[in-house]
Amino acid sequence: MDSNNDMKIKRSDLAVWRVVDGEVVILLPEEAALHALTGCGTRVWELIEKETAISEIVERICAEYEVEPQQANEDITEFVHKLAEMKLVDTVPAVCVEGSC
Amino acid sequence: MLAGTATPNNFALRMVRRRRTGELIPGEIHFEITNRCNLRCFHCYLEPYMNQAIDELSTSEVTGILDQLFENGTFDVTFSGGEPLCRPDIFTIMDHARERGLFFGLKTNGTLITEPVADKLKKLGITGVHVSLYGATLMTHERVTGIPGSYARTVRAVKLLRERNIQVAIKTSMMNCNIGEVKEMENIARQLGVAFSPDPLVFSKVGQPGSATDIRLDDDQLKTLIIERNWVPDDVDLLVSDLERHLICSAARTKCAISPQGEVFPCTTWRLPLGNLRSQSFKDIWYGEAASRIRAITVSDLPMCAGCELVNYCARCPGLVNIEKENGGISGPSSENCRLARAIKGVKEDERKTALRKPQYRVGAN
Repeated sequence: MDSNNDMKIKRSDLAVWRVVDGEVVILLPEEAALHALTGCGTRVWELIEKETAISEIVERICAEYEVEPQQANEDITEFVHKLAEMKLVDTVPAVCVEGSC
Repeated sequence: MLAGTATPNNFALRMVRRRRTGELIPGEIHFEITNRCNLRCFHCYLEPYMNQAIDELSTSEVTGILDQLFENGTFDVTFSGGEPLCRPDIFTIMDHARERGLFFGLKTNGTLITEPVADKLKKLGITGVHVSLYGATLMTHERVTGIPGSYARTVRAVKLLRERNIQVAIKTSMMNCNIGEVKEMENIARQLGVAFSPDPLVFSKVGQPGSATDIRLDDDQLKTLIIERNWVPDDVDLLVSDLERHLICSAARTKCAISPQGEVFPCTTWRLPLGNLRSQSFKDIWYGEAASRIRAITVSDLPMCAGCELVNYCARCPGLVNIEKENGGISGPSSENCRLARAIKGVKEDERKTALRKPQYRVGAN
């Protein structure tokens, strides 16, 4: 997965999930794999219902939690990479706007 | 770390861990929520109850039971019937299960799955759907279901579900009327991008022992199916197999079934009453005397099966014993299990004979 923070991600269409005890439990039926998200992972999962840029997620988390932007950026990027490795999210490459890439 | 992907506290995961340590949690529940059905399948073992909506659990009773299941550690509920989509409140029930944190699947004939229904199932977060298909052709399938038009609607359902990335498996009871189409059915499943699961065990109708005899596969058909599906254990499997794995099933240990009237059974086919949810709590039934008696059964209580030469080829089903009313109880063998095990052993022995006739090479031989 690209580490570009303009990369957009969204929940995998194959993932089925429930909120249990305030935490998100995710099942990938085709792999019979079960995952649970902790900390602000639940909030990240809510935010990526639709395609969302990692930078936007970081921004929202910084606004809602007491965390330094640098720390949030590192943690969220690492977390999103983990989700991608586990096939829980789909990535959408950032589209180059004229002059920005 | 702000966010992670593991937790020691999550209720569902705690239950998964408890199950893994051998604790007998009712993790998977088969919930027959109605006896109503829009098809007339001639082999249906619940046919004696068909369309008896009398005394069916109400919506609030069903949701109350789902709450109890969750509290007792249930992770996954399969809604079946009858045809579960015949219940007008099915989506209310599923929505409640989802809100409560339960994962759920559906066993259906698929005929009531239209585009809006498939959309709704997707939105509700269904984990998977088992669709019953009884033939590769319209004629064979509808000869079983008794309803014209059912074949096209069932195949349409599979397509609609797959288009929405819902996991689907085609389930088929293999009978002498459809065994000739098993390869074509597998092809259909492959083309539709779904799993195919043919079942050689056909159960007699409840209360009518022996009623399935005439529709079951004969011994030769059974052997052909075993070869085609490669159901023969390899030598390593046979070496490591233990009696418990072959003789003790998960019924009333990690799963059970609930009828449309709230009766709790060890399994859909093993309809031994453990209690009724209208008068008892699920917890009282699960940890009650009847269920405990089943959980107390060990291999030593099944001496005939434990000492049988077919045991390593067998997956003994107490429901089959019970439904055929064989051996007057739960301790003896099921003649249909014996027949299947004998067929598998026969195929294995034929394979060994063939292997012996093939040229043999040994590394290091001079």
